[in-house]
Amino acid sequence: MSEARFKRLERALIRHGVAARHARRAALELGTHFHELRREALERGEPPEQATRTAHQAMGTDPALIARYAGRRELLGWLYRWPVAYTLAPVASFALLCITSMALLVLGLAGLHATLRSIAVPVWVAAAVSSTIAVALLWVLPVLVAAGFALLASRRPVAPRWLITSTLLVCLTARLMNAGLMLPVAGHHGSASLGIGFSFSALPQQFTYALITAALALVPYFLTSHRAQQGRSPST
Amino acid sequence: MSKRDPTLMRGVPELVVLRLLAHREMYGYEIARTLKVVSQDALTIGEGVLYPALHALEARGLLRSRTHQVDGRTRVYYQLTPRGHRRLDRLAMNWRRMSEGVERILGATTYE
Repeated sequence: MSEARFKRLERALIRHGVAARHARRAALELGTHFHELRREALERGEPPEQATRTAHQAMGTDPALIARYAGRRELLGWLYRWPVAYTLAPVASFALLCITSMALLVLGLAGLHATLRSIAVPVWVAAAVSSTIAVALLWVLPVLVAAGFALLASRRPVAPRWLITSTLLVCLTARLMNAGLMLPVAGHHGSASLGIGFSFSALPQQFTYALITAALALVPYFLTSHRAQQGRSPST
Repeated sequence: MSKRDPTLMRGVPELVVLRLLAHREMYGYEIARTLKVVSQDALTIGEGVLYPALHALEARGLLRSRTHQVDGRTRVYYQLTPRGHRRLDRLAMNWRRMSEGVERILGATTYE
């Protein structure tokens, strides 16, 4: 029962912004402390159940313990100490993933260059591959990255404003980017391109698409938060 | 440090914890127990104050820790770093100067 209390406390500390390593250590140390207090009570002659109660009382309530840990800034996780980093991390991750994916594709295709030329890839196949890669990099990847960070945020005390801003930034960055990978077809070398740019005339449309993809990316977050809220609300 | 004026007690947990650990390495329960015994119940640190303070002191580089298994339970032992020793010297000097000042005021018969 006491082990369950400290496991619960560890999760609660993380939810309140305490860094995972401090939360883990806190659960470990408080568990050992509880054990020592209980042993002390048993040595005083208290029956086991009473000794357990005495030790729990001496430890104080979980909200009081959580408040003490969460009240020390140096024990908080970086997301909680620098929430602005939470806005930038998803954008940086998305950009990095885009560049890495494209580099891997180019390296893979360079290895297959001779084979691709010998089998003479039809133009429509090359165009379909190019479109698929563009959709995967510029539509699917940003939604997955933003949704992933949003789900991570649902388990941390990240204010929704930072989360929504980061999701919008990822989706808008994706809308301003272009990517293409053309397989070598008869008479032509293959090509790869990845860039970012904008024109003022296209901005309203790109912003609308960014809003739609951001809304999609935030669906799992709101569902998880809603479920967690229902789980926390007292049963009637 | 419960049931005491929080203003007067500010900085005291840090000072006493550093002082106890300057002597030898200890784990949390041992620190709380030793403090209670040595101060003859004048000072007690609750778990809610002690452990966050230990973590914070370690995060500031004043303590280092190691884990040790005893009877199937993990104890986290803390010891002072050289930086912790310097911090203790400074805090102890400040505390002595302040307490001597208070003592002089309490012991004085006139304030001319």
